[in-house]
Amino acid sequence: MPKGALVIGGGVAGVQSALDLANAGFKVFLVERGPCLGGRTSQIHKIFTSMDCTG
Amino acid sequence: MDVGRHPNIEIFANSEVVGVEGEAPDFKVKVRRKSTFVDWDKCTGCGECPTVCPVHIKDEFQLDLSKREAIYRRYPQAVPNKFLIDKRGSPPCRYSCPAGVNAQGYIALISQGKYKEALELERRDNPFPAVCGRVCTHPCESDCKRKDVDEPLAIAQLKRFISDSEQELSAPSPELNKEKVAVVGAGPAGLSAAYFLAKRGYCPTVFEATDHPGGLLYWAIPRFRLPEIALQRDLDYIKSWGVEIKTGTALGKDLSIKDLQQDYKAIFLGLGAAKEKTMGIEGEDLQGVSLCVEFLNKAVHDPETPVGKRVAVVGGGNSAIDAVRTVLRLGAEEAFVVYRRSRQEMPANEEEIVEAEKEGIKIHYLTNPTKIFGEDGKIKGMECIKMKLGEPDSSGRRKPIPIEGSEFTINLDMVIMAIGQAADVSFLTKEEKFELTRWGTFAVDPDTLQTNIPGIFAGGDAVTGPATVIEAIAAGKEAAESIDRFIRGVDLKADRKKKEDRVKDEDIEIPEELQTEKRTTMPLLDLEKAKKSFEEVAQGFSEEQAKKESDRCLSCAGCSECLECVKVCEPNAIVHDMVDEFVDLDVGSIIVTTGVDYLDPKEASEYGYKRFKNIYTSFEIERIMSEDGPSAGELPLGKQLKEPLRFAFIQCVGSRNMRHDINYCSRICCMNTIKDSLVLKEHYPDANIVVFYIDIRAFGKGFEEFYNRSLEKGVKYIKGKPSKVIEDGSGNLVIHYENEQGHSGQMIFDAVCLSSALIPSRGCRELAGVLGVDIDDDGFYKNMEPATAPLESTKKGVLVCGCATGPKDITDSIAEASGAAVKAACFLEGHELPVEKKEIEQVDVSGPPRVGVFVCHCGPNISKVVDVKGVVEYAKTLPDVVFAEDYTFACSETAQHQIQERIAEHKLNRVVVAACTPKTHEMSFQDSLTAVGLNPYLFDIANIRNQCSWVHQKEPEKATEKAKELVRMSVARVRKLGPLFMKELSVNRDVAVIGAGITGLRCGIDLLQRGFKVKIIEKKELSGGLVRHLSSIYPSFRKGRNIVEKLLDEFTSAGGELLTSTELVDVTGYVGNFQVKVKSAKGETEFTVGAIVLATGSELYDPGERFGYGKYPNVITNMELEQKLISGEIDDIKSVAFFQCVGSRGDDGNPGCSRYCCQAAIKEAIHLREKGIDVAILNRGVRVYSKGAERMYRKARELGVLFLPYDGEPEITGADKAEAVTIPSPDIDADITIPVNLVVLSVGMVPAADSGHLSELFKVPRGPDKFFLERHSKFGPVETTVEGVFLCGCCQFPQDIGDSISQASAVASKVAALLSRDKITLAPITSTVIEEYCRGCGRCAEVCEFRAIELVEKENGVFVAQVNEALCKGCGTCVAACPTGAIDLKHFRSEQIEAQLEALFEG
Repeated sequence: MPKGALVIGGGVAGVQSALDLANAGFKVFLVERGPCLGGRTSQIHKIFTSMDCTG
Repeated sequence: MDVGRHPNIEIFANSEVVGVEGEAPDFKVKVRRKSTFVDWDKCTGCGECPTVCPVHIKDEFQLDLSKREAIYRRYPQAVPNKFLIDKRGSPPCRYSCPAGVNAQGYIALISQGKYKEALELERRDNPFPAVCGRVCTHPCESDCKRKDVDEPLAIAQLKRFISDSEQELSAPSPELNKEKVAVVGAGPAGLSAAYFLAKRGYCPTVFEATDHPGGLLYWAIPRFRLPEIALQRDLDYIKSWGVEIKTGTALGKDLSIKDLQQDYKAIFLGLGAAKEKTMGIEGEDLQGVSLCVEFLNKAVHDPETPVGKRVAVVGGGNSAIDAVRTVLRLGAEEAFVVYRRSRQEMPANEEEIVEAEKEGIKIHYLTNPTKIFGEDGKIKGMECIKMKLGEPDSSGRRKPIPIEGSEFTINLDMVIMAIGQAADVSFLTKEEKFELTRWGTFAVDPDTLQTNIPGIFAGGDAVTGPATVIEAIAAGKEAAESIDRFIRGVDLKADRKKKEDRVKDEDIEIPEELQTEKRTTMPLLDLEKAKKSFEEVAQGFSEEQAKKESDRCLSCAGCSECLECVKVCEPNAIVHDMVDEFVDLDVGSIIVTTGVDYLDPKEASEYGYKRFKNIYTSFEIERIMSEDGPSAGELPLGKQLKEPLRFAFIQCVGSRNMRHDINYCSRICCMNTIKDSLVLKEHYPDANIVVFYIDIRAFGKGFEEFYNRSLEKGVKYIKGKPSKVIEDGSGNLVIHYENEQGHSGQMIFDAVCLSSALIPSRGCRELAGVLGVDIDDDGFYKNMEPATAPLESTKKGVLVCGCATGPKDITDSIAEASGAAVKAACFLEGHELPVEKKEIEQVDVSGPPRVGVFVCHCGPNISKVVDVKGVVEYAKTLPDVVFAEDYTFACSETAQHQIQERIAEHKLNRVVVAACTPKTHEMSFQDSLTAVGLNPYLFDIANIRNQCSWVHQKEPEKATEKAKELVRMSVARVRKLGPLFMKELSVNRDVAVIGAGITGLRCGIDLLQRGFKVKIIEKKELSGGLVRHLSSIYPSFRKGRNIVEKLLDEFTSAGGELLTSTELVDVTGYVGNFQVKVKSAKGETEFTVGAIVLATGSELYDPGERFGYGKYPNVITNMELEQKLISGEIDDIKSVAFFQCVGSRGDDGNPGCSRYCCQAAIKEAIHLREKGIDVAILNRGVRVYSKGAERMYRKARELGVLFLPYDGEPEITGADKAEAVTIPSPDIDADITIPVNLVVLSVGMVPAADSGHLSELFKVPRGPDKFFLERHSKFGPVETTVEGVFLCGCCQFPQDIGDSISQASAVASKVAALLSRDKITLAPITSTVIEEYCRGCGRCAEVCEFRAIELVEKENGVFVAQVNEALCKGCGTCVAACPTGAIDLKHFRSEQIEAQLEALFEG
């Protein structure tokens, strides 16, 4: 496997870090303890102040 | 989220980092991939498996407020969209069963009414359900967790129920074609071995010495306990597997080991323990003294067997009870048991003892025979001695000790000795040299059951001595595994499946709402009838009873391994025996974003969480108010509201609270509560909502306005912390509180939400240990320095961001995450992945359309409702369709390959897929087209899942009709589509940063480190912005100037170009190619850059003449105070008053909170206080939220800094200078006057004066507060709507230093990603202008939010619209606005849409 960056935690922050690195052309290993990405944000109903849904 | 599809990202979900070695940039990382028990390469996420899962356990996604199945995905849109199985170990029932019978599994199936499946599952581990359901000693029940609630489940009786419900014997009759194996002894051990061998395809022959199979089950267990018909059912089932049983064939007599060795590949000896023990006391040879098994052998089969009138049975096992009950049925007048220990130690089954007692049988405990006496060789009585219990013996039971002199005699005419049997296999040693134990049993390897002679195995009582049926079955099963290995020539021990660990007690869910419910009692035969007959006493459960009993199961282990999911999984993805995997990774740098957990408010017990109904945490409210939440978006109040809803929020539950050792503000809760109050108001417009708070910390962009919105909606805010919440007995919640004035009060509510603190995530300390980084005083990851190095951990190459370093909202987390990415990238230099480009021969599409239609079943998702085959046949009739077929999952890799083959095979030049939403899989189908050289835009998706099978579930015919219509429309559209091609623009890789404050400098440095050329343009002479003028920064108290100098030094030494005293003149161009014109004393210059960063900062509010500023020389701004602190001109000052929110949170200056001022004032106050100066901070709520700030606030209070709340304007009095400050004090209902000799105005941040000009220049819009507007407040905080132009720091909104620095790095990350490629590709779906129709009205340009359209003058003086394809996003707004139809959108051209519509109405 090529050398890459390791991101630990697949919540919004982890996903954002991974995307930025991947978009800059690097290999990213994104390790998440739970079964899927999204972390706490995926459980939030609406976000302040835009009241957008998180889905 | 496109993270799941990004080719550069490899997701390890359900995984943990378990080891990190080495240093940056050469870390070696070990990751444990925890088993999911579902092969994710095969799982299509179809959702069929949970529909058959019988287990319902807490759903952590819904915060345990509802249930989910053991096979699950967290939520429908989860990425990866895969299922996994929740296994927590072996359930106690299964773990304690010697044969590992999956009781939880069959109980779960019983609860579903799946009795056949339950029996099938039982028989995987045990061929004797009818037997074990009646006579098993059921260790499973002893360990059943339900006993901690009320009573253990009646597991054995449920087993019996499924066996009894078998209508017709399921006879597998397999073809056995493997080697022959001899089994000696047709007891439970031998028959089990034969059964498990037959299941593996071997041909077992069982040799039995007696004339009937079953061993003691047949010969010694009375029929009232085990009817013959039940035993026969199990025997028939075993035989149906092809097991041959030869009765009347005794080893040692009719056949020898040698014979067997010749004819069979392996031998299993299940010889039992036939020899009965005697006590060795006087009189055991008298007539009337019988041995138990011998007696039962006769009595079980002969109801005329003679017995005495007064009969004693000696012993405490099941056989003793069986014997005594048999004696009673055979006509004894009195029958009783003599047992040397107490009831507690008695090995017989409890229910057997109870039944015996009911039948009138007495049990003499702690009594032991010493001799039997008689006359004329016949028994007359027995002498016994009383016993007491001593220390535990080797069996763990307390050893009985005779009490001297307590002998007594009993008159009897019969005694049955039931004190046990022993194995005696010594007769075999004459022939073969078997190794025996000192008890005369076979010495075998405990793991493999092989005797000392290879190929000969032994198990059951002949090995263990007398044991239970289930132990014998276990031995047979284990031996079958060994024999299989032996025959295959595989090592008998290697990788033998170990017994799975028992589920941990703490992992067993006992639902809070669980009602106690006693175990279902087994109906028994009428007592009088029972005493006289051999009819079965236990009558078995009715279906209703079985169902009720099975519902009591707690599903301890999560998944019950009932294997129902395996049956329905079409792609065969389920792997129940999957094991964890370890992966080693080479890593240059590490980013830690492990987030936060919530404090369990049970720790703040005064608020009644989980003690009273309708008390929720703020996070639970998130789920509850969600439409896809546990109560579909409504509060589950459980009562009818008579008046409008009364709802309270209690803030700071745990946060800022020394009692919980939480010395920080959780930063998001105030805003979250405001949001929740607005959501509640939407649902319950009349609701009375009250927020109990300490300070409302609405410090971010737009937060103050949001807070005001809730005030307008009537949300009440009470400053004060509730002391307790109690329930008044009628379901109302009473909050006791004390308000700001010290008045105590009570208020009644229907529901209460607790804003519990955010705490470090579980496992954060352990991970820090693995990573070798430090944790801070609050338990979060420590950063190098909160203000200037917020993203660096204490170890090089390990970055920390988001809530891992402390609570923060999404906006700040996202910015930090991007910032951490650019820093992580610096350790990966030279490891950029090569961009792969394959040249593929393009399909010629100039000819007439040849359409292929591919219809997806989506597992059962579509096909359960829509007639997929019918749609395929219909598609074939449509014009230009040359091929159509269907797939179970069109998105699967296999199907995609087939589609590619079909394209080539049938020379297709247009493709329609009828499947799900294009959002999910459009790109993957387009990739398939591209892979075979077909232009990806010659493609359309008909969404027949969401729009047909999902929404018209109950009308399958209409759903099918609609599916056909959608396909017809797609075909019509695709016939009109033409190829479109990506455009590529070359990119200039230089960057211009506007503004040389710390934000601009930081951004510049990060970009330089990533290898980009950076120019910073600064209009002023000096760099460093406002920070240069700060005496110190919090919380480190480092000098502002030093920070600036250090950054400047880094920037210039990394090769950055700083243009000070330079004005921006003009900016033209677009992303990748901006032309920037600047002017300085040296004249005008122009250069090209690929991206532009706005880091222009803000200005400080000018108080004008307010608060005596300008009038009194000793009224100064906080920035002027900083100068005094630097120069030291504060020696003659004795008393200082700070006025907070000057030019913030009001109609003058910044309408929002300026975010920095409270923390800055506290820092300044500490400076002053430490010099002995009295300090009062007049505030409108103290908003300290950043890392370390709460501690600083506490320190200030401890130093004696006064914090006085005020409303309105403080009054300043004095002649030539300010001498006193007066504020109305709500605390004491009077005015407070403080003598001062310095007043400091903490002035807010306002947009820079030239921000309007810059907004015009860069076409970057500003918000209502006149700060620059970001692309998205949460998910695009540093981008603008203009591609290639970015924002950071205070030009977007006031930030403190740490946040500005994070944003600066975030921008660097975005710019680096944008400019890392040589070319930028532009999506080809853009607007085009048909010039002859355009009349140059300009409406299109007006509505274009991307400013992609402008009017250009043609030669003849006519204006026409022109689209800049580099800026156009293909949204289509201009098409709708054009009054003459002069604008068309590629790929959505009018003729294409019209064709679609015509097709719709054709039908």
